[in-house]
Amino acid sequence: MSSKQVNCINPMATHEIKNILSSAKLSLEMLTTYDFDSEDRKKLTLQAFDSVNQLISVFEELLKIEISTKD
Amino acid sequence: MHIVIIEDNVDLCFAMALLLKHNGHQVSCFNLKEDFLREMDNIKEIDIFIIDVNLPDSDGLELLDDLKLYFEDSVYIVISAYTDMIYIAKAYGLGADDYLKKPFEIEELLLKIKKIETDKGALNLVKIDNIYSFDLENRVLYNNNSLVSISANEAEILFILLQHNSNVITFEELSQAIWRKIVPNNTINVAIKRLREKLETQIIYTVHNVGYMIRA
Repeated sequence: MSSKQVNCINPMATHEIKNILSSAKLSLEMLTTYDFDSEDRKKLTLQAFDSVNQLISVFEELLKIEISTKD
Repeated sequence: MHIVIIEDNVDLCFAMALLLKHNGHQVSCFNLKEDFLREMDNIKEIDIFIIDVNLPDSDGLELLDDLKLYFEDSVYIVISAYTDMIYIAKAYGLGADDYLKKPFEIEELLLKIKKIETDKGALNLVKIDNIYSFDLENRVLYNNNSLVSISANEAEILFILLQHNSNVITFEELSQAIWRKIVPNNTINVAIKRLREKLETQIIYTVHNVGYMIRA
């Protein structure tokens, strides 16, 4: 069961997820750690949201693939 | 330190640059290999390269291989979401100094930069005796860990003498190196006297009628 789950996400998708996750994670961590000026805070917040949205899209696509494979 | 980031993820590039600038570094960001190559001649000194493995117009590892020919003294950190040993081994094989796996923590990146900074500083720091050390890059004299206030000319004198450690530097050589012209020996003697007055121990030796030397 677990090995099948691992194989469901191909290496390219994993790479893309980690890439998007890294900017979201870094932006959020920076917002909580440093007191940047409002412009930089706004940009970091927007890009964190944007990264989360991109992640949702990637997972939606993966879910579609998963469902179509099962069908 | 001057850090160059070559990373196609614009958001990540912005965040890393902001983080590193906030921590006192000078940062230049490029999203493509071509962007960097266009600017390369205008950038004089690069302490650290942070290069993404996956660039749209190049393989980051091939770029690393090429850059090492032009920027021999720079430190290279490869950054990637690839965590397979094959990529990591290839990066180290091509001369990468470190590998940062995405996603990473702020502290992880800062610690790596700090370590490079410390290593570079240690390389430039010459121990003169048990009390004094001199930072060749920044021309700064330390008494143990405290900074000693010396003039620019005095720092330059120490730099020249340390570069020729245990060899005599003649009045003429010192004159040309510091003042860019021949000055009377007395001018040099006065500068050396002032420098010696600021030091607790005798580190500069007089070679009568010839010049001065230092033994570090």
